[in-house]
Amino acid sequence: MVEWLAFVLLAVIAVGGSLGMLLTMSMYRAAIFLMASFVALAGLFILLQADLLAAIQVMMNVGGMLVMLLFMVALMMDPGGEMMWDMKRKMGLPGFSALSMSMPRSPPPAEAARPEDRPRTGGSNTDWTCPMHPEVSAPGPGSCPKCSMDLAPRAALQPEAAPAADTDTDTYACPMHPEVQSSAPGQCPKCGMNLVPREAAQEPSATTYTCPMHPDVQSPTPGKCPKCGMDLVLQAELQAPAPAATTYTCPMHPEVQSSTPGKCPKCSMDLVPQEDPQAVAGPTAYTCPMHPEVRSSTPGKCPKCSMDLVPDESAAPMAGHAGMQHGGEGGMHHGGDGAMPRMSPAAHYKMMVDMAMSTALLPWAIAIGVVSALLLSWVLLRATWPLSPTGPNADDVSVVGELLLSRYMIGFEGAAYLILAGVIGAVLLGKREHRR
Amino acid sequence: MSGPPLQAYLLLGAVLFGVGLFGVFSQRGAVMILMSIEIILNAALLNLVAFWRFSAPAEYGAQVFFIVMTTIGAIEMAVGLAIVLMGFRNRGSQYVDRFMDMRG
Repeated sequence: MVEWLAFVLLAVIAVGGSLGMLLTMSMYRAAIFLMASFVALAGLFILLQADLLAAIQVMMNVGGMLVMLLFMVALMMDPGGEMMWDMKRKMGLPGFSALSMSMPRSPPPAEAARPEDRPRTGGSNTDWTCPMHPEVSAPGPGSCPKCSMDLAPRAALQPEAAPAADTDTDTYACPMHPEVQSSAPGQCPKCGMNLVPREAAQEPSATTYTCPMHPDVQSPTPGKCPKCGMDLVLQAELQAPAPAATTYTCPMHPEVQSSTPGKCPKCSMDLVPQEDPQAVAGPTAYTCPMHPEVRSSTPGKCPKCSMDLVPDESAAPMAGHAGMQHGGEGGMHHGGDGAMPRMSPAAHYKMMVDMAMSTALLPWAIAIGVVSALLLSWVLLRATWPLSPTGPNADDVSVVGELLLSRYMIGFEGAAYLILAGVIGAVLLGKREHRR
Repeated sequence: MSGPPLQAYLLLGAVLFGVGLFGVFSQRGAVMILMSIEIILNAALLNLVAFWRFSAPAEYGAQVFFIVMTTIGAIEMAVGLAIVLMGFRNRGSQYVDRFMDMRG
């Protein structure tokens, strides 16, 4: 009876720990959940009278999960989940706060209509050319297809005569890469196809991707900006807000305001456009995060604990209130507490995608897991397994050790040599990379 | 033997395997996928120990097999983490959906 009770308890912890690891948003909790699951498995080994294996299971797996946790802290922006928790709370997202977020189900919002007289972003900087071959025109840096020299911005080479290549009526463009344009026929530097003449300049298609920091970088496919490594975003999404006074703000830190897109200095999240042109004045009061009674009209340090003063969110509610008058196109559920900036639906979608911990194929994953568990249990349970009438002999405590030291020693010698080779290889490769 | 029968442990192993498979397919982070693979490995090892206990308790080579498999699991984690780290250096994120395009 006791064994049944222990089995059920340990089984619940094992399965619950594994599920909890997959559903929580905090990586620390995920590692601890998995440790609990493995320790429960060790308890099951003790129930099965394999005590040595239980000890080995605990030692190997708890240490291994600690290493996993270390890697997650190193590779993730928000390992503890505070940012996600904060965001879920502020934005009033439904669901239990501690659960991780899944990919948004709805498809990305349709791109906002672009203004007809949208000014060409970047002007002459969008045209990179070869110093030797001025007829070569490319939207970004690269190599000249004729002489392999590095391309330079046309404005740098010819400050006065910097024609926007797409306003020429005898422009030649590549059928595959419409952003590649040249005033003379030739080959496309990307694919080698012959350039064909076009009557009128074409706006970049709806599937043009550009870098938020470098608008002259354009590409028909998503990827990374060759200048700064940032992700390319749909050009329409960047230009949807009013070009005049677009402020960019961090979804987590609304007091961070910037007139250019980039990354939040506090949390390195992408700044999103704020659809509120009135919120450019910035906060007027600063307070200490630890001592809210400390107030100052200028940023500085708290006299009590020397922490940096942060803008007081309660002093800048006009941003949120003014933003709420612009209608519900931000896609937020309750409007929050006024401190969250309004975001365009595209930016909101992008943020949700960034914060998601599970893929969009979550229902498929659930189906695969359930079906495989059912299939496996059916296969295992329908067979009649040969059962031994006696249990393990209690006197055979040292048999495993003797086996390890005698018959199976060769395996551990091999493993030791492999580990040695791996360590030496890692050191050598590390030295080589460091030198490079 | 008054405790749970062999089938109970096999069922638990199957359920854990399903949970691990769900984790492998649903998670975006590469480290989370590696941890789900650990769950799958441990489910299989639970099956191994249960079969040792109920079908051949005199054959202690099965326990050595368990030790070797656990060691292999740890080495596999190390290699997997090395791959994840190099991938992170190249594209700046551990999320596997960034690995969509193959670049030279």
